[in-house]
Amino acid sequence: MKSCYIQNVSSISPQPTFSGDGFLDVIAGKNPENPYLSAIEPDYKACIQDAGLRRRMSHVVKMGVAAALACVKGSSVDNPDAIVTATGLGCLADTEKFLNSIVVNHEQLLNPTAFIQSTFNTIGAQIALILKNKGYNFTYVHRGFSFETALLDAMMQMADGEARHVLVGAIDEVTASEYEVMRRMGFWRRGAVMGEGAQFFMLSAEKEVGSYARLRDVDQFLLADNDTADGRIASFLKRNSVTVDDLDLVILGNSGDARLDVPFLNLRNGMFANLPTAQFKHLCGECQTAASFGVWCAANILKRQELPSAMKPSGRTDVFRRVLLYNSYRGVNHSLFLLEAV
Amino acid sequence: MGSYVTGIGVISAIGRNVKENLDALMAKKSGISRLTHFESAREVPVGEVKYTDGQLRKMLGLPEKSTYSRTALLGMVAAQEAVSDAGIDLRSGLRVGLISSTSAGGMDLSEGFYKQMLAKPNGGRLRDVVSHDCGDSTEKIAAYVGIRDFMTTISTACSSSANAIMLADRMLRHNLLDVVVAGGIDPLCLFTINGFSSLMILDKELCRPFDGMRAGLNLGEGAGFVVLQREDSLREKSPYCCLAGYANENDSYHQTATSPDGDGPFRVMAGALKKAGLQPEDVDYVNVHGTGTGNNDQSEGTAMFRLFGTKMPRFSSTKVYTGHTLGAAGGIEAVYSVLSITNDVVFPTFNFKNPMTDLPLFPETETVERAGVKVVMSNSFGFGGNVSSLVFSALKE
Repeated sequence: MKSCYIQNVSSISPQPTFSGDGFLDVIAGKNPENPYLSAIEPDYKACIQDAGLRRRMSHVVKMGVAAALACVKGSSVDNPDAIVTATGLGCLADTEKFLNSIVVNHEQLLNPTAFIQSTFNTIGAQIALILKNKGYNFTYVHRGFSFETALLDAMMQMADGEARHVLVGAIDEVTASEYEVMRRMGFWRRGAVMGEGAQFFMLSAEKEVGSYARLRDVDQFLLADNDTADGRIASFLKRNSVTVDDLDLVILGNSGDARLDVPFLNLRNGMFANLPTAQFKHLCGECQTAASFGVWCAANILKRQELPSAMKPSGRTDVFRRVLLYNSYRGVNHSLFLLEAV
Repeated sequence: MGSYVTGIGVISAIGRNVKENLDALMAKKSGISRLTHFESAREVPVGEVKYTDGQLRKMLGLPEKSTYSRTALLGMVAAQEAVSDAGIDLRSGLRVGLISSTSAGGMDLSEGFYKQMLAKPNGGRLRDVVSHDCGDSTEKIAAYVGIRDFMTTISTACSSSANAIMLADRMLRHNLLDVVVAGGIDPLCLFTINGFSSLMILDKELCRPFDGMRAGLNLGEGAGFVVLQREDSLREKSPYCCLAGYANENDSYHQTATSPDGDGPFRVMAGALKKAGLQPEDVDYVNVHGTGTGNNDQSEGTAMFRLFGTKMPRFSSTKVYTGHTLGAAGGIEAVYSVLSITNDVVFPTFNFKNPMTDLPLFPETETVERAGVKVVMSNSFGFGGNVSSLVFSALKE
């Protein structure tokens, strides 16, 4: 795959990532009232001017739209050629709201607003409406592959010369009932913490002034029972003509789940034993599109040439030229991202 | 030349396989009828697949007691038919991917779960909610059919499966995969029936696409998949036709309506033709989105006038047979487009009577055989301004 460049990034997350110039230098404590990590929301009035529009938007739509608009505003681009969004569960709160009204009102006199906004592509559509963007507009909704395919699609668009700039974003929200259902399923029993947020990336086909990083490649895969990711990681590096020794840092997407983290520990003690590693899910929490926060971290590390202590680094490096991110969602959806300094 | 279509599979209100669908289309036999599989206060006609979940499980050889969303079950039937039809040996070393799409995901089960959870905090069986997300059905279908190399899921409302087919072509051309099974699925459920009802766009009778008297759409359910291959991955089976061009854009007009001047629809139809290297006059048949809502048919019709002018090709909406199957529509209608080329036939919108006063457009009302169909355009437009058009063309002789 022809590589592309990360021209700008934005993030609304459980950390103060949206405003200010810091890079994970101040870490937010967990709100003791919530068993999950909720996003620190900006003043949406400043981001989404239309009051009527803002009022109709649910929490997840506001996060996505605000992060997207900030990403565009801070970039060199007025309007991207394409918008590609990714979400695991989409506009869940509006979905629940409409379901609730069906049950409570016995299918009578329903207000369509929640239904309209429950569609998985609502965020991508709202961004297009606000930007008056008539370009290509896709939404990927496949668990821990959603963000990965979104990036792959964007890279193909640029390689084909159909787009010069693509806005790619990943958004997921936590609702109380979603947390509760997952709790009943045992998702949070062994240490993982649930989280939410929105990360957006302005990708460009060519290197531009101020580019954060070069995105070389992305891969997504399943593993057969009892198989490890080692082979797939090796072939991913090989197809990019890179060896493990060429990496300066490996960012790992372990979630804190005692059982699901074992393969990550094995990699740290095996294939990556001689490399510095860092983590991110304790900062953003686990969700289907959490890898987007990892890529946001990688882009910042490469641009700023610093690795925040909040990312629990093991080992020391002074120069960051090449970073590998390995993520897995629930031990099922695995993905790899290779980024380089520009 | 784009990628080649080597396999097709479909299940809808008019049949559980390609043959049954084709026979009903030829015979002008609609599948729109009363809802029978679950209770709803909304008494509207629907395009229901005539098999219960239990019958589908049996058809698929799945354990009687197993829990699968209807989305997964419908998808398995259509995807398996498409793969068998293409004659792909999944163990022959070819890189095979599944690109599926849905707008409702596993809502058919999770809405029942949600109701029980509302009644009692610990209520509902967890196995009814694990399939809620859109990726679940894709992973279940992939496991059933035997695809492991790549899978992903798209959800862009009613253009979802047209977009899945576009991504498939892109991945083939980038040599990331050799074979892709692409399409989409949606089940009928209370959520969508009530959603569209709350928008007041459900016709109480059989839908009347492009008719001046049209009063809305009929919801339907089903799944449609095509198998796409690059030329170098073709084996014994000769392809049906090729996917010659496509385009997706955002109409950027309104969250649930297309622009009255048909701006987005016009641009994607023109864009798909441009990508195919074809002119408007090369199009022999348009399988229109034609939902039967006031807004869609007015917008799409205006766009067709802008593109084709006085040289209007034959066109029809097959939603009078299947209902609007939402995320599945692009996949099901891609299968019908392929059938139109291979059988050289145009399927009629048999109940069309009154042309729109401001848009004198006349869909075919009789089955047209030996219609000289070489190039078919298939339109899919969805919520969020998501507009898509696909162009299929017969193989050069």
